[in-house]
Amino acid sequence: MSAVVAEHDEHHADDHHGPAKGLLRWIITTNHKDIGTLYLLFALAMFFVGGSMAMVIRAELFEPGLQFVDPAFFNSMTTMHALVMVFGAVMPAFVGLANWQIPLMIGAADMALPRMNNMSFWMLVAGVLLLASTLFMEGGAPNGGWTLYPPLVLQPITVGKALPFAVFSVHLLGISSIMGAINIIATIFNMRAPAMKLMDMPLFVWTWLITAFLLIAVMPVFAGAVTMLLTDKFFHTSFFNAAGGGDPVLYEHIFWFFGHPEVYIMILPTFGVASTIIPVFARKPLFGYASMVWATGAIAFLSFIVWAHHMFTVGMPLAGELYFMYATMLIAVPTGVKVFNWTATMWKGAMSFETPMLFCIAFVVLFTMGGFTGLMMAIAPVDFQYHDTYFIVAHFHYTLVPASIFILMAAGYFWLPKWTGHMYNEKIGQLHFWLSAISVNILFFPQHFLGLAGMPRRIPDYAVQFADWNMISSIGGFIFGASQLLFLYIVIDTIKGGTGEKVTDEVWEDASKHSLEWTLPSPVPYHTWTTPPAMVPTEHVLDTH
Amino acid sequence: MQCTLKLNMTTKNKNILTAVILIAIALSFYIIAVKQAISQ
Repeated sequence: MSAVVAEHDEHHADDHHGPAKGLLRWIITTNHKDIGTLYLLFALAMFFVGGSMAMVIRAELFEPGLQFVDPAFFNSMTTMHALVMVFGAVMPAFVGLANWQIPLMIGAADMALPRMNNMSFWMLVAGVLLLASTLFMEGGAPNGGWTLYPPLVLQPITVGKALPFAVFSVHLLGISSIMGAINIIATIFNMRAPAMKLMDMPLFVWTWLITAFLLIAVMPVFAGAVTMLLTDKFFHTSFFNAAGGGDPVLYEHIFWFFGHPEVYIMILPTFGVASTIIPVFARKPLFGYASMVWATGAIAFLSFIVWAHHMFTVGMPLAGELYFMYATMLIAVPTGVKVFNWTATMWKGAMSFETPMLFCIAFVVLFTMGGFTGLMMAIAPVDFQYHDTYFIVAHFHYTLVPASIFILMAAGYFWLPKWTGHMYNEKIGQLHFWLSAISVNILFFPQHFLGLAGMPRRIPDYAVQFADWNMISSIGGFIFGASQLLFLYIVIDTIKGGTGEKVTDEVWEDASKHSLEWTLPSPVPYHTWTTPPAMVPTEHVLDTH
Repeated sequence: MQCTLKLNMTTKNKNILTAVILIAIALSFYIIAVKQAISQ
């Protein structure tokens, strides 16, 4: 029996099945597609805000010496760039994709808790605006790094008046994320089309289900950590204050118990999108569907038991260092399963290289490089050399930019035609890809050399021996930043009509064999799956049957 | 005006129950983190 019944509101006989008119539509909407659009547009805006901060950082580091900004503001930029990109851009972008795609992919009419869905978006906006407002406060925005380590972050010089605002902002962002996660889990568990079993779900849905559990487990821990910072600062507690019997290292343990799963919160949906796009352009079912699901679960489990590899240098017992070293290395196994599966999916496929596929291939190659440097850092004795250097900056940017960001771009190119009914300009898309893929390497690869040579992270000035690679890195950064304007242009152009070519319902050849959304009309109607589909595509799960 | 999509009660109750269980899990993680810090 259908889980939903479309019903006219009896008080409104003039019901037209469509959205409310004007601006109000976007404020009060409970429609998963509207909320998905809001999330995606907000994330895109924040991507450019966070990106502008990165441009300030790269401009300052173009040459040794202090050029443009004072050191405190530079530190604010590194801190805010990270917070805005993590909590304002990457996470909301994936929640936006989840909002759009999960109901379409599982045959649900909407998200399970639509009003909460609206609330979680607007709480995100409030949280990010509150965080951004600290830029204009006396003493400036927080500048102790995104990890907000005490005792540094509790010093008046480091936070000015911003700390309580930043902490409250984190609370809002955390509540918003938890509500989003609850919604996703409830939708996947309770709203699937009756024909769709768990092991029939597209990988994107699977990865988001597991990510949502990660969010629910770790966001409250982060909220606890920053609340204790707040009470240490204003209510004379000594959780992290050695003078009062507390321990600043305790904060690092609590923070990274959140922080490491947080890394996977940003990468698991990335894996899900890649696993959705690659089979379509390889014209083959995904290789190893079941192993992909189990690998995602294994990575999520391991993410909870490796946190202290971020703090090898704090002085742990040897047994602790060894445990965290080996546990961290173990993550390479399920991650390797995934990389081999993507490669095997492409193997002997009738591949074509449209923009979404190009971004996916670049992701597989460049993410693997980021993964390998992760393995290097997992070796505890060697990490003493890498710790807090630009090698770390290079590593995590390789896992976030050519991985998460590239896959978000791929998702945009892949689904925009479905959402809007218009085709994007492939030539400009390819230009965007090549400029991004080349410049991202000019930007981040030299940072490995800088880190190995000993350049510390989070500094506005550096020794002259680091000058050449910094200049090259900055040039790459400026090209990468500028080329993202092409993506902005393409998004606006596609929404307005794109190439003028009317796309088919499938958009991509045989896409409807892979996932349910391609069986719907293009553009996707405002309400979909009011009656769940009787059958679900099984192309992507062939190897499990 | 917006069309309302009314869930049947069984699905609606299941959604609310799922939300309540997940909120309880989230709260327990918060409490464990703070309790761990207090006991140090």
